Amino acid sequence: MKKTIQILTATMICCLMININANAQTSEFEVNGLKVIHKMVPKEIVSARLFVKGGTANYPIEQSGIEDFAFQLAVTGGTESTDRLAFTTALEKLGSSVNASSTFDYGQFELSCLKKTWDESWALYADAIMNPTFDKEQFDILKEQLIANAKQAESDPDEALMQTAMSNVFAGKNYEKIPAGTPETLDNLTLDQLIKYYKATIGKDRSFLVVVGDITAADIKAKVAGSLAKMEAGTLPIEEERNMLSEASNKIADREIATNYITGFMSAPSRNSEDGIAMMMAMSILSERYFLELRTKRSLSYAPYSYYDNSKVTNPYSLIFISTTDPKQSMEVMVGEISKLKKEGYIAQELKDKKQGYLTGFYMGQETLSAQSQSLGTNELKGGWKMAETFTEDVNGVTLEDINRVIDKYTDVISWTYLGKEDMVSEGDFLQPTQLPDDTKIDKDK
Amino acid sequence: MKRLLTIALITASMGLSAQMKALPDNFYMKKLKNGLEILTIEDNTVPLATIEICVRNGGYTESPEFDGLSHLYEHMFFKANKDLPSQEAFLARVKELGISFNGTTSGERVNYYVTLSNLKLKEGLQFMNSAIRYPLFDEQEMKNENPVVDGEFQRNESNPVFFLYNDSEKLMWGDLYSRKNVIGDHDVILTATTEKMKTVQGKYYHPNNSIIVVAGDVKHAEVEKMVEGIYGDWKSSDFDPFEKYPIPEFTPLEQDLYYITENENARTPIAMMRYHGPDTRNDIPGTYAADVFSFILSQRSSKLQQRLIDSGLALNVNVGYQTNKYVGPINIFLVPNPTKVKEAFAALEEEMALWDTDDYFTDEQMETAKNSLAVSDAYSKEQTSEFIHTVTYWWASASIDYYTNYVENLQEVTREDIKKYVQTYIKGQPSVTGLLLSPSMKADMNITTLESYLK
Repeated sequence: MKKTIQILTATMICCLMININANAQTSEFEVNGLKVIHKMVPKEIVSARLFVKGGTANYPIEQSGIEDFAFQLAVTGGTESTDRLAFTTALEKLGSSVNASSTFDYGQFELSCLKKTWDESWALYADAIMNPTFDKEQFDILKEQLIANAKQAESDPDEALMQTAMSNVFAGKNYEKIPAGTPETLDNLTLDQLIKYYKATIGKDRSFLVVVGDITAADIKAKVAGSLAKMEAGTLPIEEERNMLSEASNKIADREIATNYITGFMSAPSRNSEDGIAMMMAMSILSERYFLELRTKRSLSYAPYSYYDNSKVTNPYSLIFISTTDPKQSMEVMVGEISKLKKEGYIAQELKDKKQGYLTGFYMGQETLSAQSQSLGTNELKGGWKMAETFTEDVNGVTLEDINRVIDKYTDVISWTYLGKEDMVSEGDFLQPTQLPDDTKIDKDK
Repeated sequence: MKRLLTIALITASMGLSAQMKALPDNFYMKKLKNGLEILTIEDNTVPLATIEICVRNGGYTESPEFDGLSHLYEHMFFKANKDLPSQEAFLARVKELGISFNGTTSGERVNYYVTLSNLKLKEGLQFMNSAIRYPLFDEQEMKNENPVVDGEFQRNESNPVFFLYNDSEKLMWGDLYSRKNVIGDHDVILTATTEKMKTVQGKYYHPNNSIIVVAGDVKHAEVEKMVEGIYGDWKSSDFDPFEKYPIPEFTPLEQDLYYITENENARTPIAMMRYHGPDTRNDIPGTYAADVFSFILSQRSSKLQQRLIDSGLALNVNVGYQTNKYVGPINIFLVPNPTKVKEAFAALEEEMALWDTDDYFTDEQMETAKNSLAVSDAYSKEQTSEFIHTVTYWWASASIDYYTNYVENLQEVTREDIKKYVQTYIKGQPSVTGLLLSPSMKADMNITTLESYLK
């Protein structure tokens, strides 16, 4: 019976790979020094993204939000040939969208359009990136909107917890900066600063383009040569030494809300290291254990989970999270599960089941071309876009030994951040896997 | 299990999906003798199958003593049943099949769905059959789950915008508040019993009140055969739930109502203005006009956006309509510039007074709106595992026909239709208007009541 299941699993994965790759071909090429990753997919939609490396490495903390602000202004403020209203109206008529944003390790400009409007949509997209006017009125409007968004983020407990955790764990590092900015940093930014920043940052050396859709390479090459490839070479972002989170840093943020939000950060490998995929799976199985132990058995939370956050390119980490009205017991169980894994390891069946579930989730995430272009781009940043294409083989290759090794190696120290009623928690509740009493570590009945 | 908070729809009209007059080529409908409808959507983009069972249940079926129990019931679907007698066994099967699962509860629908390899379709259908037909409602699991559902509630309550919305709901729906209050009442949730769950099951969980949709890399003939084999002996009820347990009609608003939601965690003022809008039982043309008009107003070139956003009076303004079978609300969401709250409200009201004038929007803007709705359809279809939820939304709150004719009917909307919609539901009609403020903002603005502040 066991053999049959294994064969079935292998067959399924094999079929998944054949099916996915049957109609898609990915390649890379350069157009006058600008790297392009192209995936041919016969669909009605086209997704293009220009990635710009650096993110928070590109600006000082007092200018937090400057890249996000500058990039958004570029795509909403009009171009040298088209004013902002005419530009947006043209996009709306086509049913296309051009958006820009910036996060911890990169910024990006995204185009979504129908294949039938690709030519006109690309022209608008490239014009916005290459020839933005940085309209003063739009600068003022956008500034107020971004400040309001930043304030709303502060009032949202999920957002506020993550902001607090990042500044706690990465104090003094790039990740301490909030990519969307704070109300204060945004308020201090001037139009002149944005223009200077944009000119200094947009360059071929730190950028690459991803296009996914039913578009030929020749078409892309011609379009890029006439537009994005004309940008200056520019510079590369300065690399920062990794913070391996080897010392605990705990923080309590007092807030009078209906429940309490807690997160713990731990060290993690880089996605392209030999431990990367194993870490992903190890934390995902831990998340299932949390669901069972914290939600199903103990009713401590609606939403406990854990994951390996490899969306962070230069300094990935693992994260555990819970919202609960019983913080002390919740943290005890969460840490207890990690300690148990460090001592006993995972069960082979967990890994086998996880592989199936993981591939289901992976393919669900590949249904849209927008998701595929994002996956190719972020994998390129992490070490090479081919990691997006070999994901199924990589998942399939993970062994029990791999996940046992990484869960033990990277979970010695947890840095806790707590947002909620201050009097419901004390420093002593912020447990570490190495501090738990033995009876908590190996509670086989739970 | 995430719950569909209708507030999410304030910024995104539900008019996202569309079709041609006949069923699209990849849609296959069939109805079993027991009344269970089967819809297969063939899409071989990725080798997955998504199975969704959708039941006409949700907030609108709840009297006050059942407020929130459709949602609790949804949680119990993912627990012990006849074939998987504990949640541990249930979760073990989920892992074994490589399933991604979830469910949602909204005003007029409860849906349950799993996505798994298309090679395991039959096992997935059997898995769903056990859960939908044979839940155990184990007393201990109920006790365990009540605080979990309450925890989901508390998460909502930790965001100040929830209170702005909830205060509006109470004024919008009055005595029938529970019929729109999906998240429910803390006490009702915490004291829920197995008997109450069985009452919900006996009223609504029947094949003739449900649809099963299978979408993905599947063949419709095989799907229909499998579904008939597995669900064919699910016994039909001998009654129509909505004839036997009719939904009471919402009382129209009689006057303008104003309120202030005060919350110490609010960081910026946020306003909501809401009206009772059309519904799919009484005014289908009105629902189409509402969607087109909402998309006209969202364009940057619209007079509304120009007057409020480009002038700097507001940071965000969005007009949306939520398609419902029982009074769909029209929601106007406004984030005023904190220093110009009164001016932003005044400008909004002046604009609204012009909404039924002949030149309020251009022909080009109307065409752009219709095109945007059609393009949105193309995008929504791209992700089959999500698109399936859009289809069942229309099944529950309108009909599959409403959905398949959607884009074509939008194209038929005229300027006069929009004028009629505005005059029937908005202009001169009573509304509910609220403003979210922190105590310090309220003090700084010197507001006692919103009505007096705005006059």
